[in-house]
Amino acid sequence: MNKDTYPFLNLEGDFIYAFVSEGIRGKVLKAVLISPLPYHPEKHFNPLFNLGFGDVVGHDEEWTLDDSVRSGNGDMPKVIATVARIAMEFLRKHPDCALSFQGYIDQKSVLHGKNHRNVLYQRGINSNWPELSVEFTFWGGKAGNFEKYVVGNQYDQILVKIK
Amino acid sequence: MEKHKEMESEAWMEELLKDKERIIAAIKNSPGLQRRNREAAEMLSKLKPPFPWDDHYAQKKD
Repeated sequence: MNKDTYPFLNLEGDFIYAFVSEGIRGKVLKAVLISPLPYHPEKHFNPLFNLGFGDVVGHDEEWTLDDSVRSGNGDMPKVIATVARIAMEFLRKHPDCALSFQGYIDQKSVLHGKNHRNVLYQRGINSNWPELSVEFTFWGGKAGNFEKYVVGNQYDQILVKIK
Repeated sequence: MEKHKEMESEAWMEELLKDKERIIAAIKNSPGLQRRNREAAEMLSKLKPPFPWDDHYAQKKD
């Protein structure tokens, strides 16, 4: 995937990463957290991790991570490509692991009946499908049902694993 | 220009990361991310076989 991405730092283990988004609203610190999900032996995935990300925001010397914000920094494709690169690096380092990710439903998403961050994730997957599908297997879930990822279908949750 | 911006961003991040331990704690304890993890786990826990990834794992076993 030869998309333009931000350089990122691994902050802890292979599970917390940070990078700086730089756009029309200035610099925003972004963080990616990869967290383990419970193991269900009958469902095979072991280990399975969930990927989440958001803006690291400081208020009165306190830090919070807000994963619901739209930074409006005008660089979402580059941010999503950076998150995708982090996910790919994680999966290459941990070939037994699977990753789950989903966007969030905010007011705009409800209004349009779409999960906007997932739309962006999927746009990234779809536009790089010939390359990604050689190295990774994707599955898409909607309303509790998963299928092998089909380019063009819209999903609520996506699972990915190295082949 | 791009390289200069990158170096500026790196310096800015380095400055912020002087508070790295507290930033890591904030990331780990983010209620939003914890909620999303719970939602993902819940959605996956409800799945019933057959799973579309069965053949992926069958091939791995062989």
